Amino acid sequence: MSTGDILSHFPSAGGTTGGAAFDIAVYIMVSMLVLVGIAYLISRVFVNRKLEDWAKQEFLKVFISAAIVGGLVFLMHPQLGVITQAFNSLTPTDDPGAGLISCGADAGLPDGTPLCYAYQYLGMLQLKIFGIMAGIFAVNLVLDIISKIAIDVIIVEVTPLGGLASIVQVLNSALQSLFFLGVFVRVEMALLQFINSTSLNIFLPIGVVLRTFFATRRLGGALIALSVGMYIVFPLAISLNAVSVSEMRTDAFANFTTFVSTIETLDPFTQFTDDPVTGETHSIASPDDWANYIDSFTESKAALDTAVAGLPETLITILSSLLVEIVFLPVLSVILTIIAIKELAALFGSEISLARFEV
Amino acid sequence: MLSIKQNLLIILLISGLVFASDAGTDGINYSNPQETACGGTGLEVLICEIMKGLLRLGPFIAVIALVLAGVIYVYANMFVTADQRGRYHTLATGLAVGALILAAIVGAAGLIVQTGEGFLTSSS
Repeated sequence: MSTGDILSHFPSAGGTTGGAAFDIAVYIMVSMLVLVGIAYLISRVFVNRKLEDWAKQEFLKVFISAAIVGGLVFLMHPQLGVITQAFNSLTPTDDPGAGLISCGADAGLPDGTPLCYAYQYLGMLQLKIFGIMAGIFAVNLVLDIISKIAIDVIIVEVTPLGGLASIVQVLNSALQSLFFLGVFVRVEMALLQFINSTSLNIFLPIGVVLRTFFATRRLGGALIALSVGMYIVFPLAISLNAVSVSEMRTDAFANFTTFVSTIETLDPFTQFTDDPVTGETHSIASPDDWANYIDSFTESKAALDTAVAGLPETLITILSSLLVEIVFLPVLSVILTIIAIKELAALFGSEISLARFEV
Repeated sequence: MLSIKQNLLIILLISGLVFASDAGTDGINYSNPQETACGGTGLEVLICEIMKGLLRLGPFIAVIALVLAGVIYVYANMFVTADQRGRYHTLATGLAVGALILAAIVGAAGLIVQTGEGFLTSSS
């Protein structure tokens, strides 16, 4: 394996950017060695012990920088790299996107990596949120109308299905929560795209260059740690979330689909279509048709009661499981990533102080 | 008697040489970095030119220091009294040793970096 043009080997690093960064790093390291030699000469002439010590230490540090730069190939090479192999072997083999979400076409992410897996998993969560929101819209279209149907009986106005308004209220609250969860999940997907486009293309090359120059060595180490942590630890943590909670909410989604189907059968607009067999005509302006429609509830009430009875549990299960998957677990993943970056920074000769996440 | 740090450095260098891969980009000549063709973007060219400048400057300083060391040594032996001669000899020795080490580092800079790069890799 050649370390030549190191960063061009990385999955998504452009050959130009990566290669240039590597070349610049080598130029700086060679320059630093010459400066170390000159400093050593001066220290011997003027018998300056401090300068001599600095030169010796710097010589070692240049060597270590070179080892880190070269070692990144060994660690990150797409086929042979130790970390990359571990990274890819930990990726589950199932398709969380169920063929609906393509990493390459939709987001430009490399296929078969935790980055792609995490993106597909979050994408599926997003599709589920969209599905539930669409279901709630469909249910509200029906319930909001029929809950407001009023009947004038001489001097009394009766709203026989007014109680359904409470369901509409609950669904509206759920809709707001789902909207924010949808935004969160979209943000996380965008974060994965950001990581894919910047960690190996920007942070790593800049980090490698800065790591080789004595004045910016700590910043360079921190940037390398940041890029490795973001590219590997974060998507891997999200992927592991997917594996651990994938079965948590399957029943609840099925129940919600049944609920939506039941409510859709009550759609008043379908009651007012003309019957082609009997030739009967119906009209939304006909009071008799509305009376017949309300009468039909005596038959469908049992089905409605059954559908509504399971609704609180279904909604709470869906919202809570989505909250766990979209908010709590990703927060844990972020904390894990930050801890990993902090530890990696120490490995690369730097230090990142992120308050309260110390281990 | 070598210190622990010096021993460690020697082990590192020897291990690096043993496990060194064919590290190197197309543009960098590790055995003679001064022959590197500086190409690419503006920043890359600038840093490459700085490196080449330093690689030219290093041997220049080393030769001057070496000649100066010889001159000082001869001067001390011929024109300086015995009680003052030690100071001149120390200066001359410092210049000579420093110049030799500088020349060695400049001459091997590319190879040292190459060895470092190969140190953490395991295949050739």
